Amino acid sequence: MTEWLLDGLSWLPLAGGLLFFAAGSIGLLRFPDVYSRLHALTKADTLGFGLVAAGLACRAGSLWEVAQLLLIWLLVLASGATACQLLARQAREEEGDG
Amino acid sequence: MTGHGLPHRGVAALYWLLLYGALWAVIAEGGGWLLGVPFVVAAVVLSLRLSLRPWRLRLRALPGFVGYFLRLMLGGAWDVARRALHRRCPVAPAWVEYPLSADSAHVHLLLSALVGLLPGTLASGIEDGRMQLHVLDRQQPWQADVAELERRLANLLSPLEGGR
Repeated sequence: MTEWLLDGLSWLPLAGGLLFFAAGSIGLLRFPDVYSRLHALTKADTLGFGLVAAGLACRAGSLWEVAQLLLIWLLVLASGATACQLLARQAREEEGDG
Repeated sequence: MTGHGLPHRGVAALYWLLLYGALWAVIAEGGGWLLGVPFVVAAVVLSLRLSLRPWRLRLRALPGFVGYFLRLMLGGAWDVARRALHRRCPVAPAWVEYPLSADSAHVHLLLSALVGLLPGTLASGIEDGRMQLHVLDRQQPWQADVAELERRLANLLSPLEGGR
């Protein structure tokens, strides 16, 4: 019974995550400059991935898998936040040169 | 240096041992210790050789911080998704500066990384105690969010000096 319920519930965050991924990609295409595009990618994708991980955690077979998903999300969050900052710095320095 | 250096190193060793042990347990689903123990010990020795400073978190402040941060992240992603899907795609980007008030390097590092997940802000780096920020919409009140995040990070990372 709980398994069936969790299975059904997991679709909510999974669908939400996909929507945020789609919105982030649309922002990447529509926003006017590098920095605005970085906003769209970092914020929407980090949350989108978090929601997908949460949805998958509802379907996980054991608590270990839940912990692994959490660990993966934390790593993606850290790398996304850091990479976004480095890309912004690099783009700005190149702008200063040109 | 030998006087109080030794117990300090002992605490650091215990900290890394617990952290890397927990990491191995999660990755290997609580098994494989025959292979895991040598790697955990090697990682602890390497951390001590590089004299990495353990991050001191105030654990009591952690749940409140996580809740606060998740709320902000949700707000940030919602805001940027709304702008991306809006028919006229309303953005008015600008560069601004934020003078930092905390002086811990750990706080600076985390703040400039995490600020990129807040609604409408993104850091490109810190120069002379001023964080360079790109804002998606210059009309948006971003100062309050950044200041609140800085205050909460300082509170989370300084168990000795006390908050505020």
